[in-house]
Amino acid sequence: MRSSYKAACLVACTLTLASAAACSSSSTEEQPPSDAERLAAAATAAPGEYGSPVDPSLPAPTDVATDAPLVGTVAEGTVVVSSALWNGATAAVEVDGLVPDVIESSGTCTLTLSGDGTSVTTERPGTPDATSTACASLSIPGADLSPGTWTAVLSYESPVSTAASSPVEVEIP
Amino acid sequence: MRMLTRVLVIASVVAAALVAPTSGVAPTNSAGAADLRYFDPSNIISDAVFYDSWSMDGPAIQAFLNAKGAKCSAGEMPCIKDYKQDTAAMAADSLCAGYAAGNGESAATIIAKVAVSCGISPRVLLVLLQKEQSLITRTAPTVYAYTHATGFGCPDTAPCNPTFSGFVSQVYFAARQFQNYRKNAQNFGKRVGRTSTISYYPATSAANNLNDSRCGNAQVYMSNAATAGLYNYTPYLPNQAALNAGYGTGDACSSYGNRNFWNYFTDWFGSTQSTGGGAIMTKYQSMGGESGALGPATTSFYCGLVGGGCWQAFQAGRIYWSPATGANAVMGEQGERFLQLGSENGLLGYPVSDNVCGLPQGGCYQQFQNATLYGTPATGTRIVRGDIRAAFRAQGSEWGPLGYPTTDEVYGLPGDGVYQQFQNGRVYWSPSTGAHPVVGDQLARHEAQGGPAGLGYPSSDLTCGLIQSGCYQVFTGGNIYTTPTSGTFAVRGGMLTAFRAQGSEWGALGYPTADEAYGSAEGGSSQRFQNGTLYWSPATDAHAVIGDQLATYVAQGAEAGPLGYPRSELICGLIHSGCYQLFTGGTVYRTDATGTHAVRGGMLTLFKAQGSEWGELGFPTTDEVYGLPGGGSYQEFQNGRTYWSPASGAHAVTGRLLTYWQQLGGESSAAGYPAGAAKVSGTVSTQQFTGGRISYDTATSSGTFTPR
Repeated sequence: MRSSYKAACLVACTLTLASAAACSSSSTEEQPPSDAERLAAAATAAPGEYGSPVDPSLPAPTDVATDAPLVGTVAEGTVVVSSALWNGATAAVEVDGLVPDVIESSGTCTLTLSGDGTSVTTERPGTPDATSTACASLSIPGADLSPGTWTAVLSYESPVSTAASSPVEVEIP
Repeated sequence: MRMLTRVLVIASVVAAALVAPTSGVAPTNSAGAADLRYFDPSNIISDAVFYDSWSMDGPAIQAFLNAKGAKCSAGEMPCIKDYKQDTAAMAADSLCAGYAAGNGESAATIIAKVAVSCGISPRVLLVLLQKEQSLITRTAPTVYAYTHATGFGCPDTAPCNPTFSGFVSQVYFAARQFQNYRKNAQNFGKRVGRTSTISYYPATSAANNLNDSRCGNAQVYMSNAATAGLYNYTPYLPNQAALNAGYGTGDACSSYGNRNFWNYFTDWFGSTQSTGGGAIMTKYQSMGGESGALGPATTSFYCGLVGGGCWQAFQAGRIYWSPATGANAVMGEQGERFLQLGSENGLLGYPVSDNVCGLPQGGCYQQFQNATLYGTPATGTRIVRGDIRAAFRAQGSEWGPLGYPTTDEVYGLPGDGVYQQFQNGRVYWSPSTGAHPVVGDQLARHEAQGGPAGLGYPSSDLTCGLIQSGCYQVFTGGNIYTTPTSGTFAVRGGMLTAFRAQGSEWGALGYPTADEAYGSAEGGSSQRFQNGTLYWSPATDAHAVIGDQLATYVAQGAEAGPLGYPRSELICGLIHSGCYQLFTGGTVYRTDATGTHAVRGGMLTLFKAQGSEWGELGFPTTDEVYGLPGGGSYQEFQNGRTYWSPASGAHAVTGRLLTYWQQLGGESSAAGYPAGAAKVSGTVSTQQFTGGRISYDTATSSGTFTPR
């Protein structure tokens, strides 16, 4: 209970003078805060200034959740389309994406645009990244496309992996 | 209990109102982290902070590792605070400046070297090492933790790329990759200024999340290169459950990499944002960055300066930022002077402009909060500030008559005064007068008059447009007057009072044609003007002598002559439109009919006793005429004469008796000089002379001389 009270007090005192009176009485019974209390306080404190953490001596947190190691195969993986848009400046459809959890320099990314009873494709090598393979800057000029709604699919293929995105609609003006 | 509830509500409401957190839900987990309501998915960290490559040096990093790893003892591998390795050389490329080989380099040294080589903050690298393998705080480190230190090239589902193993390679290539994201964004999925779809959880079949079918995704705007880079490196967005959990566990769709990055960074190094740092970075880039005039950075940006300011040093200068002034560069001579003068804490304050060049004479200037620096190759770089700056600006700054400053302020003048020398003049300042420029002929005259110790400080600028195209400038000890024809001269003290009483330059004297001349009789002085002269002595003060009076006065020897100093101005309104002027040695009278003549000594006493110009004699028609026998003299008046001799004193002789006496031979006759006043009885006037008595009867028109 006391820790909750103090956490609230810290926020209130930090953020508003108006509530200062409400917490002034707690100062008469101060004990050095426990690590848990300090961590809890930090969880409700503004980040402070760059270079000046709110509590430089904050103890290291315990039980930190981290991203669990994944052990799935890539053969049936997904390509994530992070961006698919009509770029008026270049007059082209531009698609960016990535193949999560795959790092390969031997793969090929393929963009397929379907619409109006036809389809157009372009290819680029995948770029190996820290934790993924990037399929970036796949571009099809507007000259090859008629106005209307097109469906984009970004696929990836390497000697050991195959993956494709779900369809994404792109509007061509 | 009720009170506690109320406080909590106040706290969260106020927090929400003040910081507009990205989530309205307060963390429910107390596992400890900075308040994740401040986590901004589109701006996890600012570019300025992320690329702040000088933010910690090797010793600072070592101290940090020692503190965070205090509880660590070696496991398969030494603790990172104790880790050392021999490092190989790495060639420079477009992303990093390479790596110089070293023997037994500590982890701290490696981190510091990589940070500077690749332009990534060592703080970011420390957080990266913690986020991936907890290498900063973990005890009993494993081999795996070092070979996968930054997680670079080592996805959890794929074997690590053997080319990139080992601690130095992990750090170097991770840092290099973040520069790769920044400089070759087209090769990666996330780009500044675009909105990207970011999965909450890996979109893989293993995660039962193909096409984000289970956990979904979010549209995230990429505010800056650093944030885009983080999403390239770890392409997942922490979901609300992850954010609510602090450092703890969210739900089955939570990812933690970017959350933990923000948590650790904020807890260890404060905010991931820096207004000042961002402003400095923007300024630096606008000046061309590394290939611009400033060259590469040589320090981190430091904040916490007076007024909430920040600065950063570069090879050829510095950038200073404050909320009040924005970011501006100081370089070259201006920069050196800025540092000499105490930087932002000194009398200049923060720069409010860059150095602006292209002025006349190859000049440059830079504005600071409290002063301006002006420089030309010929004059050097000088500080102009305060009232002197205001006076300088009022004159048109470097385009005006003063030209550029050639000195800083010069102190030690009388009365706590100050001056600053400019190419064509000076600006003087004193507490009572403020600052005013003195240029050209006025300056030469001021100097000739003894400067501030003589003529005092200017209390006005030069004012022109006077009669005869004249100008004047007021000083505490007098005025300086100038016209094209009369020259430039000072009028001071009693002379100035008298000059003003005459109507100044509009009055009878006109403009001065000389400075005051000292060394006259009785400690007096004089000053010539176009139409007259002012004479001053301690006893008489200053009075003007003008026109005919002046000619008469000068003919009498002026102040060195018998008339002495004037003790009044010319006073008119007498009978016959007459005027007079008082001198210490006599009085000068004038009318149009009689001319201007001095009366003095015994003659004056006699004249006054006779009733002056109202009396029988009327106005003088000659000056006193000397050289009579026995050292005598006489003076002619309208209605008679006055005679004086040492033996007889002064007496008037008038009317027919005068004519008769003159017929006798006057003072050369046996009658001699008059020795008393004439007495009239009926028609007979009788007057004593030194040689006898003369009577004249107007009834008979006959005179009689009776010798003694």
